[in-house]
Amino acid sequence: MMDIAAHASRRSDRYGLRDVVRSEWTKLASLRSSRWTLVAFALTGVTLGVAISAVSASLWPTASAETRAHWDPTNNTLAGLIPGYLVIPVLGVLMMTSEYTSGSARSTFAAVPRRPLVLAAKSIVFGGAVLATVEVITFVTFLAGQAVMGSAPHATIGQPGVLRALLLSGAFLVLMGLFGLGLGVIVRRSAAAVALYAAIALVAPMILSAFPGNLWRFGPIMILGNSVGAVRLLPGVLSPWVGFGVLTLYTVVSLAVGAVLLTQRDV
Amino acid sequence: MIQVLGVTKRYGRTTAVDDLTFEVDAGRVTGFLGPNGAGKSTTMRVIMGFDNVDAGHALVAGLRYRDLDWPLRIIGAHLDVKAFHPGRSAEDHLLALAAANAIDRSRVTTVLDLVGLTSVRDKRAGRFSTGMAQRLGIAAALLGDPGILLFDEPINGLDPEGIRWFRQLVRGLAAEGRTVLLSSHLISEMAVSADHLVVIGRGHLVAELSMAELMARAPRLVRVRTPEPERLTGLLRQAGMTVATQPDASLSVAGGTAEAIAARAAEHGIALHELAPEHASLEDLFMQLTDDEAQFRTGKPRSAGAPGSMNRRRAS
Repeated sequence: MMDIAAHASRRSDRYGLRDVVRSEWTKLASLRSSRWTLVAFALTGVTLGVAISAVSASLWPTASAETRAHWDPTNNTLAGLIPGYLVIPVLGVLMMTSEYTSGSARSTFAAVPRRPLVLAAKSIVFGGAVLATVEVITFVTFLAGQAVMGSAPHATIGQPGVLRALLLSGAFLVLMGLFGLGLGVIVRRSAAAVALYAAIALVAPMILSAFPGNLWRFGPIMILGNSVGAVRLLPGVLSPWVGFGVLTLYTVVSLAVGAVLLTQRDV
Repeated sequence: MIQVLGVTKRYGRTTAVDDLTFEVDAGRVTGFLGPNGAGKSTTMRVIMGFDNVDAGHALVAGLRYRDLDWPLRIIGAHLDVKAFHPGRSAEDHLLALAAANAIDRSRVTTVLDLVGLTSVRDKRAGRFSTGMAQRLGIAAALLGDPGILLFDEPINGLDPEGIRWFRQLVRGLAAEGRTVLLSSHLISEMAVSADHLVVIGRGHLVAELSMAELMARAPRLVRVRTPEPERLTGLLRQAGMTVATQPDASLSVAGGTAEAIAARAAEHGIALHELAPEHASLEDLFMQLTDDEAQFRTGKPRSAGAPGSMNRRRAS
């Protein structure tokens, strides 16, 4: 009935990250929902970025001297990435929680009992797919947005700080997605994990801003809008690289806690 | 081979499996039998490394699950009816699993064909019926052509044709020298599928015996119909037999042969309308094994008694 000799291409070693990455890529590529979410996000992002750029530029002729002093055309076009602040982390959460809600986690961990490898592979596959998508969106939005600036001063990629803002903004969303992936491992239920993300990423910054001092600048959305995605920095904000470092720290903590829980808990 | 060695697993204050030890050998189908909640699924999850243990350990081919080099090529398991993402096709689900253990893509085609899902391989698995979902789970278990197979209540939701197919499949797998552990709460299913039995109740090992031994343990009963049941009952009891009256007013007699009963009846001029040797039902036998769980644990296996004694024990 079954031919034991007709076996797979046996390698003498052991399954490893390479195999698990292939498996996770197959999973991501075979889900229509994740593909369509990214396409919808791309279309919304580019449209929104171009619209915000056009609207801001139309206000330039009548703008005050102060507005003109803080004029940051790069930052204006990057506003198109704001929906990604919700969409990408939710996709990250679902990468993991859908395994638990559907029961496919058991299949996955039967094939890969060293569970942190699954988290590592998901991070690589999901991070890679999001990075590619988001960087394309970022550059398309930037070029299209600058093209509709009319008489207002434009930004070009060659200007100081512009390329950094574009690359880091895309990478920022990847980190937020991985932050969500970590939350999905920690909480395991989709609704609860998304609620936790909203609490940390949206509610916590508002609470922080109620405190005196500069605590607000550590909120992820503040880091995106004012540090990572800005070329002309406002006073008091984190520098772009420090902001990026703070966010990397959030992500590392989320994934590390997830990896520890993943090994300790029953599937 | 699978070895479960002194495994204890607690969920909060509930002990699901308590110091359980048994082995599953190659070349035969081992039935894993126990009532619902006996700890069968928990034990299988421990074997698969899904659940951490509180004591003991389980070995698959001599290794803990997490130490297997290519798990799916060593052991295949079908534990949950739905262990796939509903938005993914059967084929993609299997391709993803195959990739994780570097299993050739051609195996995906082979196992889809084997379980009869080839025609729906590109359909979203979320739309599958329970029977089709079971088939996909069985396909996933067979994917790596493993020498060890675990199935947890695999025939639930299969149609009669599917049940027959599955029985032949596990028989064939065992005949090829593979190790097969098959759980069920239905002893009648075990009677047709399994060669050997591991019986558990309330997390403890109740008995480990061959199917033939179990059948031999069945008390030999004689079914008797007579117009004078009270009189005959009294006479048979005097002769040291155990008599239970059945709902249809027939008598179920243990401890005496048909010949002895007939002689006794003839002696006293009692007419007999029926006199037929029969086995206790497998279910009765199973109830008896699990009811006797405490005695088995203290190492004093009790011989199978008459059917009437079971009722008394349960009432107490």
